[in-house]
Amino acid sequence: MTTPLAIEPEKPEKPSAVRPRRRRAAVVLALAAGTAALFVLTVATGSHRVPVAEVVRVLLGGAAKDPRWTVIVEEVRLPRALTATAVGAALAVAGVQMQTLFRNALADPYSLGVSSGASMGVAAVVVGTGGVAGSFTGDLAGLGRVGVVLAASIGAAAVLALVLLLSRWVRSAVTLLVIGVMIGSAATAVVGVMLVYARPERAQQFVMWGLGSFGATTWPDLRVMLPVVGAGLLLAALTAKRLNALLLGEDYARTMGLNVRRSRDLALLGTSVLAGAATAFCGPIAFLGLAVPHLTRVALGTSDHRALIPASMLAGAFLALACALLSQPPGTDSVLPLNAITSLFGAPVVITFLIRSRRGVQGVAS
Amino acid sequence: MSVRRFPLPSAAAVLTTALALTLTACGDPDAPAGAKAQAPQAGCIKDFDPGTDYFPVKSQVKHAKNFTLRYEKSYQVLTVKEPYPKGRPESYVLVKCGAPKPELTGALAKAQQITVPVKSLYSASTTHLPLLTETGTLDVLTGVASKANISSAEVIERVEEGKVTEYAKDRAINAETVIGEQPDVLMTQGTDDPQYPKLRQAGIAVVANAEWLEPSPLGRAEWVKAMAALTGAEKRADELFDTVEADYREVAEKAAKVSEPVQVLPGTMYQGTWYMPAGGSYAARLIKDAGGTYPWSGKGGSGNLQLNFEAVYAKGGDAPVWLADQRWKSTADAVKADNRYGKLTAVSDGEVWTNTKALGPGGGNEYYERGVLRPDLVLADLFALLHPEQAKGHTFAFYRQVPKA
Repeated sequence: MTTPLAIEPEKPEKPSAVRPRRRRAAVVLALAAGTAALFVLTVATGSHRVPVAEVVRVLLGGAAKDPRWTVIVEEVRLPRALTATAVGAALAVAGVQMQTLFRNALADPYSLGVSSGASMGVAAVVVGTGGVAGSFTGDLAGLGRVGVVLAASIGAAAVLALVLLLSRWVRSAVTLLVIGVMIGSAATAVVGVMLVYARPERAQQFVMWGLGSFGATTWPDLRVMLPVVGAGLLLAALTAKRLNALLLGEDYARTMGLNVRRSRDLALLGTSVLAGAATAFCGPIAFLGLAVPHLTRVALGTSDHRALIPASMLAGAFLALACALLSQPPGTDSVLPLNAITSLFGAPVVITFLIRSRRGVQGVAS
Repeated sequence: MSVRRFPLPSAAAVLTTALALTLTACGDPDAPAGAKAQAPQAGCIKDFDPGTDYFPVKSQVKHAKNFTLRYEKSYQVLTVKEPYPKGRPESYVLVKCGAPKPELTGALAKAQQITVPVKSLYSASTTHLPLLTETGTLDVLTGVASKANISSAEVIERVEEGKVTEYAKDRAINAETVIGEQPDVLMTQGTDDPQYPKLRQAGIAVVANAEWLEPSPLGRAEWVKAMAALTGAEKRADELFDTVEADYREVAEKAAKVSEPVQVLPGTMYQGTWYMPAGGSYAARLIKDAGGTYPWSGKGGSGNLQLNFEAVYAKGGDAPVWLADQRWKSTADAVKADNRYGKLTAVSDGEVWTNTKALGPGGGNEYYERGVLRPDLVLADLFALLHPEQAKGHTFAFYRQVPKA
C-alpha cells in the first residue's frame, strides 16, 4: 500500500558522512541541550526583572531578597516552563504515535479531531457541572482536575477510536484525513451546541480556554499533569518496537509475531492520555503534534521509533518552550494567544524546512 | 441576554464568532400572541399645523459621544455615530404620530422613519430595561432577546404575565418571530447581526443602541435620552439624568479632595491571562473618579489589556484592594480557582470586592443592567469601598466584599 501521504518504512540508509548512530546521538544531545537552555531562559526572563542569582537561589529552595521574586519564579515561571516542556513532549509523541498508527504524514491530535474530542469532554464537564458560584477553573478544581483530564482523555479516545475504526475500511490516507477532519468538526459543533445552553460567562471562559495557554497551570495542576504525561510518555517509549513493526504494515507485523490489535490499542491509549491531558490543561494546541515528528525524522534521518520517540519528546519540549517565550515576550506585560504563535511561527518554519530538506523523503511524501 | 455585555469586550468578540454556529430555533407556535399595547393614540398630533413646534421638551446631549439628537418641528433625527464597532453612522427619523411623513433629501432620504412614541419595542440587551422602568414606559416592552438574564423584578413580572416575547432564546435571532409580531422598533445591543437587514426589509425599524462604546459612565447613562426620543418620555429622562449627573459629580468632587488616590487592582485572570481594563475604559474612569488608581491607568485604549500574571503581580500585587467580577462565596473560592491569587495582598487582607451583590433570579447581574443607567450608585459604591472612613453607613448597591476564608 503506497498512498502519496503514507509514511514509508525506513529505506536503506544512504552512505552518509556521519554514521547514523552517531548522528542520532548528536541530534538527541543537541536537542537536550537546547531544551535545557530554553527552560532556563523561560525561568530566568519575564515581564519583571529578577536578577539571575536570585532566580537560582529560589530554584535551590531559598528565599529571594524581594519576596515578590520568590512568588514570580516559584508560582509563575517554573509552572509555566514545566507545563510547556511536558505538553510539548506529550503532543509531539502523540503526533508520532498517530502518524504511525494511521500511516499518514498529516495525522496529529489537532488535524484528526482528537483535540476537538478532548474539548468535547472538557465542555461536557464544564457546562454540565456549571453551578452559579465559582469560576471555570474553580469548578475544575472542585470536581478535581483528574475528572477533567479523564473526560478530556475519554473524548479524545472516542474520536480516535472512531477514526481508527473507519480506517479499517478506508484505505486512502487522504480520505481518512478528511474523515478525521469531519469528525473533528462534528465534535466542535457539539461543543458549540453545548455552549448555547451554558451560562454566558461559562461559555466565555470555555472560549478563553480554547485560545491555548501554558500559563494557566499551578502546582496542584502539575501534580496531576506531570505523572499522567509521564505515564503516557513511558508507555510510548515501551511500545517503540511495536510501533516500528506497525510502520512496516499490519500483515508484515503479524508475520513477525506481533499482536497487531494490542499494539494498536496501546498506541490508542497512549495518544488519548497524552492529547487528553495536554488539552485539558492548556486548551487545544495546534501545530506541535504535526510538525515535531517530521522535523525530528528529518533531523535524525530515521523513522525508527527507538530514536524517534525520545528525540520527539525533546524537540516537542524545545519548540513548546520557544512558543511560550514568544507568547510572552520578556520585558513586556502582554500575552499573545498561544495558538496564534504556534501556527503563525510554526507553519512557515515547517513548510520551509520540509521543502528545503532533501532528506524530506523520510517519512513524508515520496 | 446579549453576548456583548460581558465585562471583556475583546473576549466577547471571540465568543460571538464562536457562537455563530448556533442553531436557529424553528418558529414557536406557542409563543405569546402579539402583546402590542392597545393604548389610545396618546401623544399624537391632531389637526397638524406645519408652523407648530411639536417638541416642547428638547433633550440636550451633554456627555454621550456616540449619538446626537436634532429637532425639527414635527420630527427629530437620532443619529448613532458608531452603531456597532467600526460601523458606519446611522440616522433614524422619528416622526411625531399624526404628523405627515417628511419628504427628506440627501443623507436622510433613505433613513428609516419611525412613528413616535413607539407602542411596542423589542430589546436586545438588558441594559435597555432600566431606561424603560425608570422613565415609566415599561408598557412599550413587548420583546426581549432572552428572558434568562433579566434582573429587574418589575420586568420579570411583566414577562411572567406573558406580555413579552422572547425572540433570541438560543442567542440567534428568530427572525420569523420578530417579523410575525411586527414590533414598532427593535433596539440592538450595539453589535451587528445578519438578521437586522432582513428585519428592516420586513418593515421593522432597527435602532442601534451602542451605549457600551461610550467611554464615560455618564455618557452611557445619557442613552436614556435616546430611548426617551422613541418613547416620548423626554421630560422624565432629562430629570432622571440631571439627578444622576449631580449625584455622580458630588461623589467625584469628594473623591478629588482625597490627598492620595488609593491603589486598586482591577480585573480577573482566565487561564493564566489577566484581563485588565485599559486606561481609557469605562472601568478606568470610574476608578479614577472614585479616588483610586492602578498601574495601568495611564495606558490608552478603551477595551481590556491582556497581561501575564507576573506583570500584574509585580506591579499591582501589593494593592490593598482588588476589584474582581467573579461570584466567589469566599476568598478561598478565588484561591481554589487559581492558587496564585493567594499571593495578592488584597486577598490575604480580605479586601476583595466584586460587583456581584445584586443578582437576578436567572443569574443576571444588576451591575450590567441597572448599573449602566446609575453610574452615580456605582461610583458611590467604589468611593465607599476605597475610602471607608469617609462613607460611614453607606449601603452598597452593586459591590460586595468577598468574605475572607
